[in-house]
Amino acid sequence: MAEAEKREAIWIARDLSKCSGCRRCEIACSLFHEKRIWPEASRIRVFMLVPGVEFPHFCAQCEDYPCVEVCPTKALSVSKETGAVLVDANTCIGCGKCIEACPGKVPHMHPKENKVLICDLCGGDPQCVKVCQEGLWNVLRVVPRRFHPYRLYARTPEEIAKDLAVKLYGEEGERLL
Amino acid sequence: MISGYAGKFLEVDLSTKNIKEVKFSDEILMDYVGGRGLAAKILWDRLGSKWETVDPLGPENLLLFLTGPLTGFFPGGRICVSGKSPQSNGVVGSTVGGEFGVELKCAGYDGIIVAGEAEKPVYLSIKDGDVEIRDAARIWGLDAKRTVAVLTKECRELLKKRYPQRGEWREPSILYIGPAGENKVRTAVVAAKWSHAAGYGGDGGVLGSKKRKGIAVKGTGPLAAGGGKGGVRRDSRPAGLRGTARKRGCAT
Repeated sequence: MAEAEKREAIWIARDLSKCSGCRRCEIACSLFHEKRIWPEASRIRVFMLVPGVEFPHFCAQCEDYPCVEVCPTKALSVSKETGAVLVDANTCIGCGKCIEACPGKVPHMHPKENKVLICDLCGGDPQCVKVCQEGLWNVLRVVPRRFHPYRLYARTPEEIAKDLAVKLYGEEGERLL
Repeated sequence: MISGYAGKFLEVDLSTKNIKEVKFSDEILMDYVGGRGLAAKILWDRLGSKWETVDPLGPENLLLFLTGPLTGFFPGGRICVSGKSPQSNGVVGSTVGGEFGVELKCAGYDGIIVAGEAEKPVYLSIKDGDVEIRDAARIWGLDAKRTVAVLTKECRELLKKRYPQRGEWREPSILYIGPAGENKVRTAVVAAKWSHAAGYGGDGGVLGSKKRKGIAVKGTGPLAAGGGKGGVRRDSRPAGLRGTARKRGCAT
């Protein structure tokens, strides 16, 4: 941010069952961070383990940051302005310890480089939220970060998919995964 | 190479288990662009001289899965399935939506050409450059929902085993046939997800006659953008479309 004004810490609120699976968030994220359309290098990924049950999967910024604690090279740090987890590409060795520590298995490796990818909230102006709002899906919303157990939102894709499938298809949903 | 294309096509011969990459010249891509147009060109080149004797449900028929230069650039996500149609004995191009075209582009291929006939049920698993013909006895005979569930699980477990430190793998994109295609019904569809299907021409029967249950693709590369220097510009229309449309009398 060019302006010196202090930004309020934000969080991306998510209403997963509204997601249509259009994947514009992936395009926006990879265009912003990698300057090209690259779905696998996007920090937000849309999973579709059961057809029709699409949902975005990205960092929930847990209040205790288990990934930052386990990093052996101190490549991960917490941004003071936004509260997001920042990855230092030079010191990250791609050991995968943060993936194991994450309660939702959210971080993933960059397909070409040896570094881990975690949502950095685009420095306080998330691109995925913009395109989601533009498409009127309203899955993602920016809300101010408050004292709240955000760790509850960090869940594995299987857990989320199962819950959503049961919500959408009833008892049959458990057998679909 | 002209922009918008990954640059290579995958050719799989199921009879000999021979997997190779084929390339088409820039002139052919400029003239026929991709999808249905390129499918007609490939069929004419390879089967044109013996067209009337080719049995659509026999081993010599080709089945083509082709993308175009705009596939993957939102909202273009369709893939063309083509071959000699068992329904009409003509060239029929049918398209199906879903992520398959995008994943195929990310894996570095513009299309798949399937020839020959497998002895027992197989499915094709593609992860970037790694192409594998895998046994599909377990899923042969299953309906749409079970096929998708079993294939998704199997492919994700396989990827997780091969790349253990990579984190959670997303599901591969799958094109498959159901029991109708396996029994060579002449109106069977090639399906994606649960309810998306390439129905014209009955290409599901061709896939079933080759004893192939489906294809699962996972690509991790970036899309081949037309901007050069790794950027996407507003005027980066794929070159394949630039000259051709005007040559054919369109205003663009």
